[in-house]
Amino acid sequence: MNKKTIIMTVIASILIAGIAATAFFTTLLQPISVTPTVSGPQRVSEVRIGVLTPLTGPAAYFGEGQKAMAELMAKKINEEGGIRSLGGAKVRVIVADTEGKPEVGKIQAERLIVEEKVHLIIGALHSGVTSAASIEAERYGIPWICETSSHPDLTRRGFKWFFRIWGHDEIFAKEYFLLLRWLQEKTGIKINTIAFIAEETLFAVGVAHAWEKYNLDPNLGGYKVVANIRHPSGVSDLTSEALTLKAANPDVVFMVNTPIPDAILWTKTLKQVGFFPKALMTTGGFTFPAYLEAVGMDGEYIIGRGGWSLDLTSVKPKAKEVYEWYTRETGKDMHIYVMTMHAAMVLVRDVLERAGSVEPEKIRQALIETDLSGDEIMNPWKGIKFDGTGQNIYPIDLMVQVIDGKFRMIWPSGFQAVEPIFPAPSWEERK
Amino acid sequence: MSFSPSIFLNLLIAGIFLGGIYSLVSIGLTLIFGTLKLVNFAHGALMMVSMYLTFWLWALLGIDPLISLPISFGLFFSIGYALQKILIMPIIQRPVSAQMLMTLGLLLVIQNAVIMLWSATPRQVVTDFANLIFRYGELYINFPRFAAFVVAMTLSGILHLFLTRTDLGTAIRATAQDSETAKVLGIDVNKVYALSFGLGTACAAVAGNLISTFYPIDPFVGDTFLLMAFIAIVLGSMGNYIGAFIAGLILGVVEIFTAFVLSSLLRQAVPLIIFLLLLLLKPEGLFGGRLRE
Amino acid sequence: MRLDIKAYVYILFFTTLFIVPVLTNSHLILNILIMVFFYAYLSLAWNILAGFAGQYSLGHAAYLGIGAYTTALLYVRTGMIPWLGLLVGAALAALFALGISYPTFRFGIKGYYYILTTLAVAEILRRIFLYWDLTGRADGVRYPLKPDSFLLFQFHMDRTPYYYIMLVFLILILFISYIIRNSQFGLHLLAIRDDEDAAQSIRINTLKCKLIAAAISAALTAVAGAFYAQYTLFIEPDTTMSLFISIDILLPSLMGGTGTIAGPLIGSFLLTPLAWIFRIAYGAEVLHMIIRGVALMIIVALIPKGIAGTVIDYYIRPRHIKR
Repeated sequence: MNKKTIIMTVIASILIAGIAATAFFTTLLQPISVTPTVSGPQRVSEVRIGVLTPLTGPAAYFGEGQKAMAELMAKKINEEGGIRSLGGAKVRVIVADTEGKPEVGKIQAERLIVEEKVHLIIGALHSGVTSAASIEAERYGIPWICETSSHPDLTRRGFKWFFRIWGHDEIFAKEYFLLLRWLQEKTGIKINTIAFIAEETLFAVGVAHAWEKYNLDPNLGGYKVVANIRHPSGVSDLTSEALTLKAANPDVVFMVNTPIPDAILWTKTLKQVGFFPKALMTTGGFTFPAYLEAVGMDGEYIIGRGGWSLDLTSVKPKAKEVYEWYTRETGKDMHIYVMTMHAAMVLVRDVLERAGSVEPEKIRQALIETDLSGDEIMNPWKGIKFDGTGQNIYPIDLMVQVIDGKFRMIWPSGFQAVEPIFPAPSWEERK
Repeated sequence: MSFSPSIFLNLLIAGIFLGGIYSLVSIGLTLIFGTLKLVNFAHGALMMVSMYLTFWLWALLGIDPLISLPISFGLFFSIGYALQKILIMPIIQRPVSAQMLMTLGLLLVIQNAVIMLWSATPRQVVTDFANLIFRYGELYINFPRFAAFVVAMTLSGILHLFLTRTDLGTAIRATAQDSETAKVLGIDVNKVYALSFGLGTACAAVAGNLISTFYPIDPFVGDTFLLMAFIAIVLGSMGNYIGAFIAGLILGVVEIFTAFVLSSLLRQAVPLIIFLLLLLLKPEGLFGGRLRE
Repeated sequence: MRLDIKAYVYILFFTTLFIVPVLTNSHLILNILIMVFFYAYLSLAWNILAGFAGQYSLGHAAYLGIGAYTTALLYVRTGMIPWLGLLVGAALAALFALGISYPTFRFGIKGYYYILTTLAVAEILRRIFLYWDLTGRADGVRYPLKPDSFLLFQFHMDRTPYYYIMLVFLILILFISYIIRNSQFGLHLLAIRDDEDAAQSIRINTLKCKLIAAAISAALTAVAGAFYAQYTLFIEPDTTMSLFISIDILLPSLMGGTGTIAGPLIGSFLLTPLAWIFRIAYGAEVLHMIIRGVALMIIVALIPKGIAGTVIDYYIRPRHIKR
């Protein structure tokens, strides 16, 4: 070691020590930057709503519709005079792409709150992203309206600022068993065996867990599980899985598969191996128009939830009105996430009007007191009202069945458009 | 898992058909490797673009995928040829890792350009034959997959003949074996490089065209096939196209049986583990061949 | 005696970075800088194996994952404070690296075979974490939120502590890189990189050197993984351990100059803010990814030694020779 190196090392050590000390003491000191808080009466000309949704990546199809609806609703609200209790303040929607990634969603959420100074956030489709990003809202004290993420834990974190208008997987999972029981009662056909199929992702596994749990309850389920299959998302071939299913020969299959390509592949593979249960009940990609276009008549008799069905427009006037308006203005597909975004924006308007202020705490109070009538929204809910954990107590989801190439509403009873077909005919019988 | 003969046969057929596609993609990859000593990361992405081309030809002009096969082949041969000349040729002297990174960059560009242009919404070609299934008792044969398999085998056969019976093909094989000596013998090595890349890309393109009849199309579809192709070319000895052919078939069968016998979750893990073991213990693959840097 | 001008530049540079949080309240700037430090750090860690020892690994995301998961799981399941969990994670990563690298190097895997091997290993590990109950499968690991605490390595209202921690990590790894580079060990690594057979012939124990480099690189990467876990408070295999993360790790080195110390630093300072500008300005990641792909291609073709590497080659080395 020469002299130069020794001196360098000494300087380095001093620097490191100094740096470490500075860092240590800085973190113990009061933070220098001040969290933005809004207080006191304000003259508000604009209310900013942040919307987090995936605009790129595999879920872009879902996010595009959400963005379109959010912006359209903002335009409508403004054309109708803005938020009256705020002196006609205009609503501005700021959409940010989550790319379907939690860390991006998190940073975007923080950006929306701190840089764009939004007063509310709606988002974020993927449960994983919502989970991470809503932490930011909770930290900063900004209300978060969750309109699509269905993981049960989201409202079990003890958060004050998180409100979910959508249901969660356990609520929805129960519906499957209720529907199954109803089908059996109607037709007198008894179901003994069941199979669960899920892709290995956060959402799907959560749903499958919920199903397993409810099946254990003899009042709800109590069926014999003859197959419980998990497979990677986005596989190139499902023959093995379909053959496993066929060998197990369950009466009923519950399947959850989010990507539309997987849903398509499952449908085709089931046809190939020549197996179709008495009822195939699904969650995920099966209830989107893009799926039906791709599989055509092979999609018949599949039951799914998370449905948008044109039938809704004949049962619910508001649905008809919004559907026609949206289709006219944007020309885009209507789907479930668009519907929930609409509900979220309706809620936002209602909340702001009641709050009469953009102060976070006042908005939060208004949210807690929400009692919105189901007539205002497209969804088949009685309304929007939150329980102590921030969960809407009313959401149910439509169960649709593909009949004659269309999604037809079969459940719940107030929304039944046609008689469901149960048991589903086998592939042989369909010829 | 109980294994009735019909289940076994169905799995085997599915595995072979899937393997046929893997074979075609792998042959293309190994051709490129054989002469250029380059692992082309963009191979899967090019296959994906071919799928999109097939889709648009079908959606906008009503051309059936099997009819647009020659278009896929010809167009992507040219694209591959051009890519080699423009991107790889200038850096041919550089270490191979640099060239691989170049193809990695190409992968990023292609995949994201596709997302930008056509979004990530999955597409599907729906032809009249798409749902045709032949049944023999408990056995079933899915026509699109069967057709894909037949075409893949035919193309592999033609390629084999080309490589062994024609002058150009022999030149390619000579260059793959020993490029220095090939140069001395008067072979235009640079042209061979470009040809190989073009040919390899064309193979991937045809594979893409074939599977678009039964497989949903999205920007990420090339990734899985690329991974399997990597494994196949090592298994079949890098540069050995017959080896890649056999390895592709083996992998297809292994994947399908793994999914049935063990667990669907392991379907890619098992081939990957095989891959790792191969790299460590027998990088020359099943068919020997020299281990090169 | 005078100090090398480089030292002065570094001191000035980092002093400025230290003052940044005082000058600005913008969380966005702090967040971006944290990410800049993060990727610079990761790239420097990778550089030890790839730049110094010449082993290009495409699987460093695996070590990131090991570091993140170990820290997260130890905290969530046993309450071990993350600073300790961090050390455990680093140790595990080093062991894992040794476990994989020993057979790899022993069997003489080089060049693109090595690249493929590291890729395969990372992919296998990612799938293991994806399907294993211990690591939470697809759910990943979610942290319970606690009030701000240095001990628990969680801060909510303010980005500043994260900023300083990552900055310190960065400075530390710069020192480590520097010390390695100028040590006997470092010289051996460079010799291996330039010509392994020749290095062996002068009786350098290439196997041992490469293994040590791999272990150090892995351990350091794992530390960053721990930081990541504490920063996002939610980890899952796809976002922590994918191939694209491995690519993100090596890009700054490639751009700035593999084998140099300033290289990865420069690379990250150029690339990372660019990514965020695109995200914010265009709301879409795609265009930025395309540009990144193009940048990668251009760098490989035109400035293979990266920015720092080229500068050294053309300006600094000739000057030294002239003397």
